[in-house]
Amino acid sequence: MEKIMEVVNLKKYFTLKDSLFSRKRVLRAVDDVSFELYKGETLGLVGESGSGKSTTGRTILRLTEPTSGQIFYHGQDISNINGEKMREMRKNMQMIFQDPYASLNPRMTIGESILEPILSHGLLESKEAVNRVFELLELVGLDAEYYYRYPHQFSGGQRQRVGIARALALKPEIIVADEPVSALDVSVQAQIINLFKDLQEKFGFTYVFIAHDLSVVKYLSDRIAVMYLGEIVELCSKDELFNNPLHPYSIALMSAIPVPNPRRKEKRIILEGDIPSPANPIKGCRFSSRCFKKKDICSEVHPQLIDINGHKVRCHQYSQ
Amino acid sequence: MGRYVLKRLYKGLITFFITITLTFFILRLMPADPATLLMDPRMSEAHRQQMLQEFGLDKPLIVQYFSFLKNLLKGELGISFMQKRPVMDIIAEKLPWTLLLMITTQVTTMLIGIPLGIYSGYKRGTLFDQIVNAVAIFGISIFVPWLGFTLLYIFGYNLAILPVGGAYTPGIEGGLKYFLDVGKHLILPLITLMAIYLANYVLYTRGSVIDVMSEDYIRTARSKGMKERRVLWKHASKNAMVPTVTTAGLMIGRMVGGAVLTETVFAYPGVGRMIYQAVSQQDFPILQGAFIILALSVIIMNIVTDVLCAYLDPRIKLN
Repeated sequence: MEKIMEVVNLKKYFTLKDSLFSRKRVLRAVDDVSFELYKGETLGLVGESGSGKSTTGRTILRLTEPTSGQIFYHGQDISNINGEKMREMRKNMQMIFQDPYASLNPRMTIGESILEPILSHGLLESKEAVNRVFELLELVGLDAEYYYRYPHQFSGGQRQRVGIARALALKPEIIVADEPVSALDVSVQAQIINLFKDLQEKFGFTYVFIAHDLSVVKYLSDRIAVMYLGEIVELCSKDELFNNPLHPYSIALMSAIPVPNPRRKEKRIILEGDIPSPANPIKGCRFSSRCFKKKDICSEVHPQLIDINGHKVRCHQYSQ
Repeated sequence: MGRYVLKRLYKGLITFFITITLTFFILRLMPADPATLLMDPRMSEAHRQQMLQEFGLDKPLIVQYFSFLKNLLKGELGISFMQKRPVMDIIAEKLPWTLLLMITTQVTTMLIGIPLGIYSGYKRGTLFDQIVNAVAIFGISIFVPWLGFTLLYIFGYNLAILPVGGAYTPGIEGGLKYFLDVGKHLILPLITLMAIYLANYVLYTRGSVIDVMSEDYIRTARSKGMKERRVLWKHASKNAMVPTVTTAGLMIGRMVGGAVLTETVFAYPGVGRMIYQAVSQQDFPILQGAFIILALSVIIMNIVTDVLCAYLDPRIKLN
């Protein structure tokens, strides 16, 4: 499979300053994340809130600036290009946001919002571009006449369709979807997820699908990366993760998926406590404070991501 | 949109009616009656009664009120007690000067303040932003008459390059010369008023730009690959304009207070100075007329503001 993106040792640190006289603290939102993205696949990115999955998604598109690390798009390092070059690059990778309402300019009709990037990148002449917007609207299941409506005149599901049409306008290769269905009703979620799947089959998009809902991710993803406190703790194919999760955190997550069978009583693993703040550095394994398989070494040595036959996991249990 | 404008006009009319009614009765609550003030102490009581009769002040309040409304419909605001001239004529003389001052002040402050606010909000935290902020806070804290006197002292007296008062030099008439003369007289009052209002525009605009820049749709615009200039001036600024327009509407109402002080300091022959004089002379009809004109202009400004906001923000129209 063709590798279209490679992320190497990506770090995004935010500097916090609570008050004038307090010490600066560093929040490690994304800490040393590496992964590859293959053409036409869907990589699921899962984790709790605060795990750095959204920041990872934004940083690989350079919507937030990486603190360090490289992002290769077709072998070209895009982590430090700027200005016009970066603007050109944006054509190839688009993002779909969690809140479809907030992410649309309330002063522009949705047609204008979708049209703008097509014209700005000079993809089509203005007349053809408007026709292209009509096509896009129909493609995502909206009437062409909606072109002239404003975002506030739509329902949540329709707005996310607009968000998708907007992302498709530039014919990108990679689409990063940041929890695109979590703000929607469950019935609408299914429609939008199916739309994602249909569009991928039709156009061969590569998705990075960020979510905290494992059943959504399971349905869409080919591979899944599990994130915890800014790190990837497990990265493998979907089937491998759901049948044979290795990391204790993943095991706990899997046990939390509800099974639609009232007679099947599976033991749930309840994790104690909350995800610690990424602003407080933890010695050793970051998951050690909540791990149910904790050993002495876990609070001393930070584990590395190890590769077990293509199944990557960051846990001392599996290291020799 | 048409229905929205109509609805606002209708509301404005009701507001106007309430305002003039309040104006009428509040002024009648003032302690002294003008006849006593006007009268020579040597005149007799009969003379005083005759005078009250002339002005129609002997009739019951409610009758006075209705004759006031009737006159107002005909466009008459009564006769000034002091100047014995129709109030309408006096206001017509003064209003253009005030309008000139107000409009130039508003236009210049907007033209300078809004872009300054947008840019300093965009460049939040930089040296540029901090300097703009400091100057704006300084401007907001200034006491108008003090600034007026200081400017007069420096430019009118010490340097003697600008006139110390009035709106024009008597004798100069017509053509470019007159135009320049009026401009010269306008500079100091204009600077004084600008100093106060500029800060409002800068700070409000700056604040709403900062808010808007953190909105999701700004991130969307960037992710679409929009040029930074377009992100700021198209996506951010237009959305940030709604609070600024509302503020502008309110500020124009508040400008009256500034105009009274400024026009008095600079002996500017406008409505503000006329109000100041009318208060000290208890000249009801002039005050009444002035308040009605002011109320009318505030109401009109509010309607304009609302319509402008509805144009700027498509979400407003529906509700």
